[in-house]
Amino acid sequence: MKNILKKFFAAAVILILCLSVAGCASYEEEKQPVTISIWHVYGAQTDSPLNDLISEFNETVGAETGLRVEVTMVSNNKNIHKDILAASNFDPGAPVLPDIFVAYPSTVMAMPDENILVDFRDYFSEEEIGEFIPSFVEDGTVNERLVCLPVAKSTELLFINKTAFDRFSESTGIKAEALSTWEGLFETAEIYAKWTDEQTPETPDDGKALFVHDFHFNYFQVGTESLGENFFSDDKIAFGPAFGKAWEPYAKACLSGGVWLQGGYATEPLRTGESIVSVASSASVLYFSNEVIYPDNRSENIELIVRPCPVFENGKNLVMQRGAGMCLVKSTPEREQAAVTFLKWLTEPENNTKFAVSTGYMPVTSEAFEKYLPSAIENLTEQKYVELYGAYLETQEKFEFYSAPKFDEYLEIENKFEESIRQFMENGRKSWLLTDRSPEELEKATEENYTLFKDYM
Amino acid sequence: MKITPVELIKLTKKAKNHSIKMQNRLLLYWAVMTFVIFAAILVVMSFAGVFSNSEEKASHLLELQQQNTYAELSEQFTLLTAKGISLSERTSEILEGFLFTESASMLSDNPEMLEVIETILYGDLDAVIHSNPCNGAYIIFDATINTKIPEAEKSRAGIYLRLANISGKNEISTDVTLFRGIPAVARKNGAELHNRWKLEFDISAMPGYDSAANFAGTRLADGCFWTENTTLPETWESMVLLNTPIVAKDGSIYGVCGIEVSEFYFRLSHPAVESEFGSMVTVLAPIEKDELMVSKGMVGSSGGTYLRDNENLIIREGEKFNTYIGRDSAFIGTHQKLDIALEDGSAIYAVTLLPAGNYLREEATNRLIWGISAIVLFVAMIFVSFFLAKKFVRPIAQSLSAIQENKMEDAENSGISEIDSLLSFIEKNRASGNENSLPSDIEELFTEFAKRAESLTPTERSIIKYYSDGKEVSEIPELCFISINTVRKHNANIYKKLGVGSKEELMLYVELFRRCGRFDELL
Repeated sequence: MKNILKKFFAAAVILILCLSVAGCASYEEEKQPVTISIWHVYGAQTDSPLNDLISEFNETVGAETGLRVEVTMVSNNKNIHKDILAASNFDPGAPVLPDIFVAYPSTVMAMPDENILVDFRDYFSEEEIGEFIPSFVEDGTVNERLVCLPVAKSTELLFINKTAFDRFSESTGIKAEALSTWEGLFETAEIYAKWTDEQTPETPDDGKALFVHDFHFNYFQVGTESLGENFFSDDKIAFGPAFGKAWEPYAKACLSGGVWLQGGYATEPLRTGESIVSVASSASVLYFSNEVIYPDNRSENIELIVRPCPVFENGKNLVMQRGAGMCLVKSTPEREQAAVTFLKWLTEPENNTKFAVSTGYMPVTSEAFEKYLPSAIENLTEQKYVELYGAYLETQEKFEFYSAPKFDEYLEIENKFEESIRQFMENGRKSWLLTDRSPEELEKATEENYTLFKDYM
Repeated sequence: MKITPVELIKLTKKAKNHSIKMQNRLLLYWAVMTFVIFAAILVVMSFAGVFSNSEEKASHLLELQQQNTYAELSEQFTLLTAKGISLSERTSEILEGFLFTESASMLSDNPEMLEVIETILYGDLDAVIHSNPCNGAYIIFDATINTKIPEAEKSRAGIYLRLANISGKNEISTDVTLFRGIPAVARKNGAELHNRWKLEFDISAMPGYDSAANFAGTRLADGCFWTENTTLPETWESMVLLNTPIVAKDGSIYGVCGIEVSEFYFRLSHPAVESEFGSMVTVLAPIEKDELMVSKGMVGSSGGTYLRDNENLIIREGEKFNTYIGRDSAFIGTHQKLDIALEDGSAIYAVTLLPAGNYLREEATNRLIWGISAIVLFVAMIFVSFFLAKKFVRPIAQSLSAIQENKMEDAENSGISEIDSLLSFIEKNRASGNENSLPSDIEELFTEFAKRAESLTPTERSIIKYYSDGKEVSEIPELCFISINTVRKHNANIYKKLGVGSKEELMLYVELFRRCGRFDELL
């Protein structure tokens, strides 16, 4: 009897199980992915190498581990900074914070609560952190928390429209080597403004700016430090003698019309032929076009050459270290882990080198530098990239890198400086054009504007 | 392993043929009944549609979301088309102010006038892209800044503005970049040049330009067409464009204006909607031969799905919703034709997609939950059956055992009236059978002796009790607190009243009464 009952129960249970679990197995593996969003700056409005790498990640590791990275903004640091602050302050109409965004520590310090960001030391072991270049890790550390994970680093380099400069050189005899010092560069800028003005005698005061700088603030900061003086004193600009020394050639060139004083990034006037030399981030190589389009719609294919950033004649070889890091917004452990999986993949030496070299950056781990970077540079074929990495390696060999200090007022000072100095110089130039334009008047205007600017700051 | 009703009957018959415990037999009956009731419930629930709940829910969700998708897309593209027409009319008015009765070609080789016109139109384009669901707008004049350059034939002056840092559809402070146009116009308005800026449009690479530029109708609405998804040259972005002819009063064409919706903007402005079956994704795409041409259309945020924007999906029509099958993913969803005019006259559809895996897993999970619940319920019912069978059988079994062991007087009341009556009947019969077994003369002797005993005093009865307990005459005085002489006197009275001659004769009677269970009659 017991056997009969056992058979009966077993049959009933198996029948119910068969009915209920039918169809489960074949769809078990189709689990939907965890999707994380990212705002980045690598490519902006051009082809974005990071977008391509993200697609590669989604198709490979992402597909295997059930996660997807979705790009929800490709812009520049300035715009991302603005939107991050708006989002973290919950401003009306502000977007929602993404999972990952690219920012400098100054953006993090300007956020109302930097604790909404993950400390990467919670997800990376000491050994993994140790694989990064130590100074890059230090750059991304705010209040002893690693909140900006370095993924690519850049520096400032000198970009020259060789095709246009050669024409100028042929006429004036000034060589590109003159641009290797700030004194030489600004003097050349003065000459260039005058020379271009002379090309169209029928149109007075239409001289062009030779030089455009992405960040005038960086010129003064690194310049002052390279002359052996602290740029900041008690979290304010010191305005010491070295600052004055940096001011003089700069202001003279600006007042003479040799420096581009309008807004926008340095690549813009180079593309329109309005300037022919710039100091900008190495990453701006992505935005340089080999074609210059003039106002009459003629276009010209140009050769771009890249050199290390100029220095002062009596200063040391110092250059700004740039390159923002990736910040991760705290969410759920599942989402944070997904984001970290992506970032670890992106900072793996081989992937990191591929990413960095395609965007004009340098990788961030020792292994990438030693094992993968040399062959990646050797395999470059595009002329402007070959130039770029040639200048990069020279900079590494001969220069010391300078990292901006981290204090709360830094960003405020930088913005105020950057916005006002162009305006001061623009106004100063308008006033100077009304004088007899003698060297004495130029000297006088240079000093007057220094006093005005110093007082304003 | 399955059990059929025939096998169930065989099992029952087999059980019948064997001599089995009453409890097990009862349990089997209970279990069969339970299973039949349980199966009946499942059948009723199945017919009532309880198990197809997921399908109904998914269908309902898709229907609701599709209504939203259709309404949103219809509103967005109708509004943009209307804006395109409005922009064309406004541009036409401004150009007439400059050109009077001349054609747009009068603007050629006239950069100063072009700069003035572009400066005026900058505000209109800026308003269009900031207050409408799009990310770019442009105006192309049928003129070029320099007719002497080799590319002049395909180069056209104009202005093209695009939003710079889109991160959501509701942003109001988004920066603008100049994609095409005179840089001075951008600088006057505080805008930057696009990273891939050019001074003029290359109309040979401008999708839909020719159709709009060669428009010969009278109603602008007849000349507005949307293009398929096209890559924006030298960028990572792709977009659809609305081209509208700019028509002069005399019917000649001043140029073409248009509106851009990039795939990136579309993705951000149509976020995936989360549902219990996963992310519902919006797609705008044409259908060609049962294939949803996702690569020619645009995809909203893919949310938690593996939907790719470059992968077309095969459509399998269904009763409640359709299935859309990709290379290694499948979706359920529904589509509806939109009233949007494409350049080649083909139709475009508003589509809502939901990952099929999610839905099927949900359905399987539901089935599993139902199954486990059913097993739990079934096992619980079997345990209840076992408990009830045991509780029902136990008093019957105890009563039968009492009968077998002839201890009916010790047996507890079973609580079952029929069993209790049976026990009482058996006991009564047995009792009457014992009385009849005594010989009548002996019974008479017992009766007479008992009758004589009724005349005994309480003290005399106590003394007989002590004797029956084995006490001696000499112990009685102490037990009854009387003298030995008084004991002797009571003994004499007892012998006389009972008609016995000695203590031994008295004890023989006492023993006989005890063995017959009638000792109480003496006391």
